[in-house]
Amino acid sequence: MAKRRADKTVRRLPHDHSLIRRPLPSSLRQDVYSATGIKPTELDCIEKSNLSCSLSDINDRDLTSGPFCLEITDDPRRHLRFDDTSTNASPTIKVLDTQTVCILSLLDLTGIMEYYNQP
Amino acid sequence: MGLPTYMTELLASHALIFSTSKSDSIVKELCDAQPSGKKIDMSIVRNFTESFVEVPFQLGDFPILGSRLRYIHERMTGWRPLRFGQLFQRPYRDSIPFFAFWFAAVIGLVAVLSLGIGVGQLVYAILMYKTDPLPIP
Repeated sequence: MAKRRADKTVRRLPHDHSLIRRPLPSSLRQDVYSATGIKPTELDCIEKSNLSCSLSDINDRDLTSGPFCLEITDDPRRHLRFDDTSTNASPTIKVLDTQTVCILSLLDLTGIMEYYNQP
Repeated sequence: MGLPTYMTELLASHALIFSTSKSDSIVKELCDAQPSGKKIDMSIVRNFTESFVEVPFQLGDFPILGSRLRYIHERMTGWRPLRFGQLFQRPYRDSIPFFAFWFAAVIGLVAVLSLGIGVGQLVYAILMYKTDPLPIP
């Protein structure tokens, strides 16, 4: 009985938690994608879609004057994504902070981003 | 396929979003709302905009982050009020139903008020007639 109660109190870690070992060894490509917060599928879908979408109304003045909010984050995975876990009632768009942008720029400046071209 | 435009896209996304005359005040509010000290340096954004941005951004300028921007655009376009509190927020697209709703609400409120005033006048006239009926000439 006590064991069953103890099992219930154990929290499940998220599947992408760093303590969980991956079934397959990670590659440099996967690690770079993980560090930059990009899913490989994101790169494919933009090429298949039409590119005739104006971005003139995606700016801070229009966004904050409407029902959406902006919030700063340091997680590259959440950059330009909606935060569904936010306590704010309005839909919140996360924007990466400048310090993290500079850190991630090191990947570009060191040439890692252009280095691997093999899948 | 690599990610050769990643840094440029990150800076361009900042330049896209924080490109208005109100950006300084909005960024200040965002930074003040952050207890952890995360901030956006507008001098870097401005420097990038002056140096590299010549024409307005298109979705094709963002091969990596384009899907996220497109999703934001779709959410902005498709937003509709679902709760009572959201009726006070103007949608990003198609503002005519928003203003039509509030125009109708104001007209309806005035009509209800005038009806109430009319009923009050009628009740008052009846009461006055019962207490002190006018003499018939």
